[in-house]
Amino acid sequence: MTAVAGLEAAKGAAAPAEEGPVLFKGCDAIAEAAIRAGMDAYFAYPITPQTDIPEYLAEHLPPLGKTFTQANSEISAINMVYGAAGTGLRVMTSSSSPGISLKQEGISYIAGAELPCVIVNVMRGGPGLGTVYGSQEDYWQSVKGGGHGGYRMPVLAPATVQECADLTMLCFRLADLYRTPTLLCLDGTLGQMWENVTFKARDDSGLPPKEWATTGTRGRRKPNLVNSIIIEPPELEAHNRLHHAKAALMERDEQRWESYRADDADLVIVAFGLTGRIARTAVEALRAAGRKVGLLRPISLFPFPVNGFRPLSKRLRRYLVVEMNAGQMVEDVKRTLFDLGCLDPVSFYGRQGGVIPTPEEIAEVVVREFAQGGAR
Amino acid sequence: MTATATEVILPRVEFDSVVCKGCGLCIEACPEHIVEFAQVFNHRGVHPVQLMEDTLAKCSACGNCAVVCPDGAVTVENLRKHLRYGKSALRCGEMHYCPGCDEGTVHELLAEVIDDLGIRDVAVGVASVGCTVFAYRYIDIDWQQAAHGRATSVAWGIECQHPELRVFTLQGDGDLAGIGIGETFHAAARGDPTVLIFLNNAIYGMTGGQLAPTSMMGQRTATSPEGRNRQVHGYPITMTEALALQQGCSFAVRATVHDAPAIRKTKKYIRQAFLNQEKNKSLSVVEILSSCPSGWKLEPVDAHKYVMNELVAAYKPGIIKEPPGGMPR
Repeated sequence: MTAVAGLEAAKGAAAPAEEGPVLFKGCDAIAEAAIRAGMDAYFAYPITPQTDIPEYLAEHLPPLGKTFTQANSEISAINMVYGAAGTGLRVMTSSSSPGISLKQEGISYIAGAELPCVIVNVMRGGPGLGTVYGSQEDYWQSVKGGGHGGYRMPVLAPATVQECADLTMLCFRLADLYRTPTLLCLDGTLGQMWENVTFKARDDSGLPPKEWATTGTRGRRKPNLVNSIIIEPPELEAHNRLHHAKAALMERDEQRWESYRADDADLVIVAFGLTGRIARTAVEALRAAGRKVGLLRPISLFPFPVNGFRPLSKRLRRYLVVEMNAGQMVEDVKRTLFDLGCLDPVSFYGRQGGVIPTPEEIAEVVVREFAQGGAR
Repeated sequence: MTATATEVILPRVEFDSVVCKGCGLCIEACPEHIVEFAQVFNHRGVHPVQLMEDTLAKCSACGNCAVVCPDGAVTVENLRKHLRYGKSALRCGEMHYCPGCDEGTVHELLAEVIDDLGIRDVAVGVASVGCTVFAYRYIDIDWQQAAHGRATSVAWGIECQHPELRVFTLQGDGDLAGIGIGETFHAAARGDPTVLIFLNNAIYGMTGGQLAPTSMMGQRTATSPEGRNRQVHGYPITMTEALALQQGCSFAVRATVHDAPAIRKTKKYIRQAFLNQEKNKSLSVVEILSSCPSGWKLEPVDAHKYVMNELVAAYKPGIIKEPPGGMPR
């Protein structure tokens, strides 16, 4: 179904506004959603565990008259993204952790030149070559500006194959809306999971025209320039202030999270991506056992969903942050609660190196937290 | 009295004393030896050039002074033959390049070719990090500025869905043959329809004269103070020959811009590269041996002699690969 449906969707023919449910792998769902979002060009380099994305697009993108290029390197791929995005196209690249490190210079340039594009990181364990198994060890790299220069960009973290599809489409929309690179950040396991997915219709409402694109002057206007060099400090400062004003707009308007039985919870688990989904199973088991436990799952890692914490901060409770790393998002949770004037205890539980925590394991940690007091 | 003698129509020669950086290349280029430095200083603190007093009648309006001026500060009009030499209409902005730097000359050639071929509206330039990074200021077309070494990848991104665009890169040796050698090589392997303008001055110019991948054996630079030697620095790369070996590269040539005849020839090559881009839809490479007076610590005129005597000996100019079916006309 996928190639034909994708073709129809891209052509804007009699494609259904919504299609599904169909069984899809996480990586394939990202690729298919990108086609349905009208992606014009895709550039990437093979790396496990995201290679299903280029394989899917190698098959389905060229028949649509779109560009699929397997680049000679990650660096080359992200710079092809720069060039193509600079002509106003919808463009994507995907990789896994070490490959994203290689792309960071290019991502910084893209942020500096304010080019819309989508970058997918199907995270694997690190540092170094690490492992091909899924992890969440790139949280800091993703949300704190992995490249140089202190830029910000939307970072979205799906927990299901459905969200892989939905958030890919949203990434394209946010990219064009804010003229920014966007990052879809998931762990390798989700990329390999099969689930039913319903593909939603593309939403381009309210997107600004790309008048800045370098598509040749064609005698109708002054030349356009795609550029990230601004030598004079006051000019660069003004440019950067605009960049961060844009980030502030994102913080106001683009926070996303899932809150599950958190309102009356004495202990709230905070976890993103696959870990959030596992924690949800733990919450269900603990609730069945009479424990007042809830979940707050950040979907946008930048902007961090401060508003999700706001109602919770009205009374005392405990927080347990669970991540597949040594503790990265926990810093943002602590900062957020502090900013909300909330001094509730925050604990951390993490597995590393590609090890996935089980719901039972998380439940045990929660029970231990209760036993230590503070939460009832 | 009847007017029997042919009326003498003097040429119009103009030296812009504000733009002039006093490099003296035009003085060297004038076959009549009628250009000199003025006694006064301009706002740059240099002596701008001028025509010697009462010498206009000696001027043959050959245009060499205008052709060799990297900054477009000279205009010569041959009013008899209706020929004009000087800054092209597409050129804009005063250049940041050092006095006597060949980059300005190459900008002028590019602007002239783009104008001549009527591709101004579809031309997109890619300038990557190095001295060429501000190229967008000087030719009035769409530009993208690229990261160091990545120009060819950016170019492919621009042209992949826009076959109507005429994309070229402007790259130095450190950019194209050093940090970006992988990108450059694969552009040739893919056969991207890009025109590569490769300025080879055998040194890192922007950072102040360090060893480049194309620095010659024995060449002294800031990071090879005793001269390039094999044990420490390895051998220089002959990049254009290497690119020409790839199937996706259909036209490769090495040129120089050290005097007026060489500049005129190089313009022809650049024109052919753009024609080849249109005809063969694959990579065209024009390597231009260029001077770097600042990096080489030489006067501009001496720097051009260095190109003639040293660079040309190490990197043989001429056509390295002819396109299938012969040179585009």
